[in-house]
Amino acid sequence: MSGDPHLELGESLPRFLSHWLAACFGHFLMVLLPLITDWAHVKNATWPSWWSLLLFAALTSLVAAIINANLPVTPREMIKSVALGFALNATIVMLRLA
Amino acid sequence: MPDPLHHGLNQSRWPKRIGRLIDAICLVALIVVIVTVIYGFWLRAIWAHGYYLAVAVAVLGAFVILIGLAQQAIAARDVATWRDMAEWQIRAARAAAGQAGATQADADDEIEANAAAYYEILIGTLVAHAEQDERSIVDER
Repeated sequence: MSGDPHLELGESLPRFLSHWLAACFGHFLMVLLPLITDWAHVKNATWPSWWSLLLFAALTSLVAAIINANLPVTPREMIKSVALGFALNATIVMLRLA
Repeated sequence: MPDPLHHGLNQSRWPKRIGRLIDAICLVALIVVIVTVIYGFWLRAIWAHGYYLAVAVAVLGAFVILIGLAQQAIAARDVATWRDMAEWQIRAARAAAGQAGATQADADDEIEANAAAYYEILIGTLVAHAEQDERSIVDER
């Protein structure tokens, strides 16, 4: 009977927003990791403008947020959203969709 | 009717301490991700100044995530505290009601509404009824 309401499944707007933000960070990580690990060489690479990058991340992260919207907002579940955002971006990069 | 308690994430078989350890590790990983993203945007902003706005958006998002996490943690702790208090109160009331019932089992009907024991017996009765209802629901299933 010691059910913790914060650990129960169920969709809510705050959960959706939190997981959406976490997935956006996963998406950004996929974009920015090459820059950090190899930043001396990609200096001249062509980069999307900042607003198109943010918009693209926001759109793909919507998918991750819809899938994860029923998970509680704990670090453990947020990491899963980050991973899903990263994976979605990686998929798009692999398929050369954008 | 599905019981929400059986759909939660708190039916873990792992000890609570391991769960807390995993949560702490995940929090560190989340903060590392956020800091890496902000640092990457910052590196990019050195060449393309428009990216300073992206840095600002990322910092804002990080704040929202961390405040949301903290708010959830505080709310969960408050709920746990309230539940503990209510359980303690119910236990105390049942103990008192049990004592009163043992000493004056036949005087139950005549107890005054102003007496302190009245509310204890009332709570005890309510708890007994609730447990009975729960048991009958479980039996029905």
